[in-house]
Amino acid sequence: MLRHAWFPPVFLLLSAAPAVAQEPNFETDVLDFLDKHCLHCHEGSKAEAEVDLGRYLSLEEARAEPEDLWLAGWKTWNQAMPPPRHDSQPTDEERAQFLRWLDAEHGLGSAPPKPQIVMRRMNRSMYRHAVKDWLGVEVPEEMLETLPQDETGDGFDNVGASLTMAEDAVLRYLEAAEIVAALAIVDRNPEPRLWGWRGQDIEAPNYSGGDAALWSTGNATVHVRIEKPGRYRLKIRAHAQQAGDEAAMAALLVDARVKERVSVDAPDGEEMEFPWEIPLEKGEHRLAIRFLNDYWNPDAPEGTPRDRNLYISSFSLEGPLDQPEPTVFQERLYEAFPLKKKHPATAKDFPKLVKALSLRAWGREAERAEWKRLQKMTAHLESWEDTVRWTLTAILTSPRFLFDGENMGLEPEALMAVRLSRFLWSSVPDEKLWVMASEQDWHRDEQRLLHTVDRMLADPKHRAWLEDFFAQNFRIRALPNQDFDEQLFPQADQELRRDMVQETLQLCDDILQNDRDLNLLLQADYTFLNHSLAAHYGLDWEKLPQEGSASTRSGLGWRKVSLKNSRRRGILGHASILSATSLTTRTSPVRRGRWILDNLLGSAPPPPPADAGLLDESPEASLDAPLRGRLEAHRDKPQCISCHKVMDPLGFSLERFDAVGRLRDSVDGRPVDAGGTLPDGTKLEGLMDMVDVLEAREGFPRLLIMRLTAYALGRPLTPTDRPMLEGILREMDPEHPTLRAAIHAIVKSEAFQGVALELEEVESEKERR
Amino acid sequence: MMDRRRFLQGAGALLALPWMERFALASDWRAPTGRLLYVYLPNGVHVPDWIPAASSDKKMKPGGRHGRLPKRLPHSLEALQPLRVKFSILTGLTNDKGRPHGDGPGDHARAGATFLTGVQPLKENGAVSVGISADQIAAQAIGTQTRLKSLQLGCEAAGNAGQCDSGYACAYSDNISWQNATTPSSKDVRPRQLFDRLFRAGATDPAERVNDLKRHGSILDAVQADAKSLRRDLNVTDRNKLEEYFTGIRELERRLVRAEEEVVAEVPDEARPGNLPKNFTEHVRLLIDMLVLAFQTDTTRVASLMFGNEGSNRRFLEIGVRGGHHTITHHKGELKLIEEVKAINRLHSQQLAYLIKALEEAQFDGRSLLASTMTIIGSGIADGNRHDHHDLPILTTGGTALGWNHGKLREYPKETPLGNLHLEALDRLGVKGASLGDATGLLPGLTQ
Repeated sequence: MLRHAWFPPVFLLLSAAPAVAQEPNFETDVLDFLDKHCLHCHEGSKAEAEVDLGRYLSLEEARAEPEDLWLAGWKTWNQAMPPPRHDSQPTDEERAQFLRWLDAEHGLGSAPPKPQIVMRRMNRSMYRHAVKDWLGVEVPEEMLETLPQDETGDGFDNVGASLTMAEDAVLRYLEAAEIVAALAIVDRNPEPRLWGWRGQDIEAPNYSGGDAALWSTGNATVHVRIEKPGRYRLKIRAHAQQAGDEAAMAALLVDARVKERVSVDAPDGEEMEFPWEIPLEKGEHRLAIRFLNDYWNPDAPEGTPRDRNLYISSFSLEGPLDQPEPTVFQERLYEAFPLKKKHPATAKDFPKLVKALSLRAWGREAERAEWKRLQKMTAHLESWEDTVRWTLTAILTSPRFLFDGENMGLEPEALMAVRLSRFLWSSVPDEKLWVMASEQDWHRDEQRLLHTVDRMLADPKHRAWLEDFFAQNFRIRALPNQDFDEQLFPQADQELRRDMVQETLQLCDDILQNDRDLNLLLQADYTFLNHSLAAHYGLDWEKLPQEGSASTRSGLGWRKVSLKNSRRRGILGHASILSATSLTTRTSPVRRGRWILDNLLGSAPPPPPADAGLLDESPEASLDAPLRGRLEAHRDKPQCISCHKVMDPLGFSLERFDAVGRLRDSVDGRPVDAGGTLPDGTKLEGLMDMVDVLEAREGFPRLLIMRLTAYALGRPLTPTDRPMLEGILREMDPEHPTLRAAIHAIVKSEAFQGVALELEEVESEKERR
Repeated sequence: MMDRRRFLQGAGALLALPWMERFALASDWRAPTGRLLYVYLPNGVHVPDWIPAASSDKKMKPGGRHGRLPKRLPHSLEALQPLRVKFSILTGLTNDKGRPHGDGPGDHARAGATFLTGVQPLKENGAVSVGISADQIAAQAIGTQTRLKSLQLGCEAAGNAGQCDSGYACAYSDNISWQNATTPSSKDVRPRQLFDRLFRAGATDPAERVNDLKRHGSILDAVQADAKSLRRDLNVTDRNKLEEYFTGIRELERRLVRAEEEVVAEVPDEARPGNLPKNFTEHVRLLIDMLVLAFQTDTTRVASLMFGNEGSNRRFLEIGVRGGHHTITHHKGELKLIEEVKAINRLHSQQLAYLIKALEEAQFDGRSLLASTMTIIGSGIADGNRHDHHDLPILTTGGTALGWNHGKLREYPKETPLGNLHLEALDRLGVKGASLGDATGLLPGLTQ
């Protein structure tokens, strides 16, 4: 494969399949097309990108060319933004004919092997959400980061082929499972225990009258070994011999750290009790009283006490005082599976417990052999908690949990529940779904299926989908970790960058929940802001024209805000995308242009050639000429111009927004120039024009749905998926495409449902063996 | 903290363990235990202040020129000045696959990915494919002799999925150790968790540790049976996928067996590190301590340590550098920024000095660990401002028991593959005839 060929195969899907028409003839139609529309740049020794298309006289010669070249050609003429050329553009019919020829000649549209769904390891997001939704346990961040690193295929981190397991991944999963199990099932404490120390049990420099005596400095110390962590009550009885002008002072030390100071201010010999509540971890501890203010004055007048001393008569310790609250999950299990036996695993309801847990984690109940194994594993344990924790740990470490259920022999009904939860919740099914999945063919009932989808989208858990799909799709998921120059943009800290991502996700959610036209993502004249983002946008929070409060889902402190009087529209006016496409110190019109081509028009240009070089970024250079001038000088090389001619005007139209998405009127002391001309002559000035251009190109909903389909299936699409994609698109109202309609169509599609076929394949393969 | 350090330095005397005695007895006649350690410095260095000036008097020979290191080292290496005879600096080494070769920008991702592999990483939509790394070749060859095949450490975690540098997968910048072309080896960032995993099997109490080992063993038995039954349901592609899981189980079992046999080293609690420090120096030193401890207890013999992920934008506020590391390496000649880059280079050198001393003070087999540990330190980018991949800053230390010699400035002909140095180290470790990316043979002269 040519490394720099400009054609990730997915893009072949972008435009509609050409209608059936007469086969084009190479000598007349194809050569004619090349002649009129390609050779201008691609001919002779100076051919652009070293692609010389002027050499072919016959079909054979053309066939000898590597396939990649023709795929690139397909790509070029199949994109929403046609190639930048000076002379006339081909008619739609000419274009379709050329594509048809490529199609027929190079098998781009024929039916090739069915793309396989690969078994997927859970990614970090899935792991986190599954554990949270099912067990109510938040996986600690430091645990999550030790799980295998997720890789993306085609921009998403849920592609099976890209999710690998390093050699010690199983260990990491085992450790994670143990921690999760320990958080899900907490230990009940035994009855509080009592310890006591008096006299010589207390370590002290001296003793007097059976009490530990502190005559000058020094500590009275006791040692204790704590088995159950928790809060403990420590009581100390002390008395003093007073002298001087203050009372005896003592400090309580726990493990050599001063916890508190007290004054033992009772008259001589009168005992005082000091109770404290202290938290103690499991392990050895040292509890001590230190005498702080020794006083000794032999010259004190007769009758005045000369010596101040402290005496400790006893230490007592009681605890743990607190019973840790059982978790909600634990309470439910206690009730349903009391396992009342000396060895709980031998109880009658143990197999039922294992079945219930495995159904949620694996998508099916454990079989006899499986629960037997777990029974054997836990047979020696005496506590309910240990038994359940071990069992849970094993279930969470099993490949049946860590891989996502695809191709693993699940019943089609269960597999559908698993797929839906993975798609819409990044999680495992909830109880309602499992109840549903126990009915045969529930998923073949379209109405029920779609009703279920709607329920899932209304559940707050769908926010996981917003984050995993939209933040990745718009390439803003990493924004919180993308640093900006602190001197230039002190306000753009991590918290604000998180808010920026939230703004975009809120708009996506709004468009989903209210069944609005997908195109509103680009055109919306409203947005969702919180206080800090409003300030960032230079808006007065108090005086914001408010369009009702944000949906409850969007969280506290966020409001729907009208942008009718603003120069912002849609996500291109969001600080998230404007920042994610910037450099640390300035905007990058090239990156922004590339982002638009890639994510809104579906035709990402190739990376720059190796000898492209960099812009002169020195401060002097930016004083000499504005960015645009320097960029134009730089890109004038023939190998650069063809891509930059499209990217740059798109990017420059967003120049009114600075590197962190604030509006501005000047750059480096010069007025902003947000104008540009696209290769087809369209003039652009600013974001509003851009929104119009994008609307006219119509590529966006198609691209978004294509990506959504790839995300739902967990695999990159290939040219052979085109009929499936067309089917999904046909289900949508072209005048009012919505996210919900797209999700419905995807879920109904054979590719998403395609269980029957794959199961048969597995069966037949098994037979062959 | 002092307790731990002191313990580590004298640990040889304290660690009286049956398995150590076994080694001690054998060491009279046995070849020295070889170890391999890589240390990665992200974002290159300020070259004029790091690499000593070339000796122009002698003619370049194919085997390179091997002269003494200059009396005064460049300023960035100041902290290493007293250790001048204990390491060498190598010049002329190139990581050709770090160059674009038509793949456009992304020098940081390529620098990290190629450093130990010598293979041009695949740049495609975040997909990952590079090659096995030198340390992992070593791990596969000699790793089974120890409880852990290898240890990967770093001051920055491997992040989430996504693209980190101009369309390259983050895995390329976040890892230098690659188990195979598509799987980076897991990296540890948190010293305390690492300590617990290595020496406590998760528990702080010795009695519990034995229980933990038993529990892990029995849980593994159960899940392995699950995996076996699952394998029968799968088609060929997926069975290959599941194979990764089995590999993991086998590796874990091997460790458990060893842990039981060896009664996991009785490392006292004083050696247990505290919480993750924010400060770079403290963090990296804790990791170095853990590394030394792992070597000293013969828990592993192969390790890598990344001072930061490649392209790291860490802020070194503790030395008054406010800009992110990566950002300021693009200093475009601005003096203030160059000074800051140099300050970071100096801070790095201080940690290298700490590392060399720690390895030297720790004993094993009656030798210093340094003598048995071939240590290769450097970056896959020479100058962060220029993104070049030739004349890389490379420093070797240790391995004298295996024949390496130090105190030298070793100048090699331009474009000598960096991989040749890796092959030379592997060869000395007993891994003969390995192949690695674009390496062309063994790098000569390290014994001179």
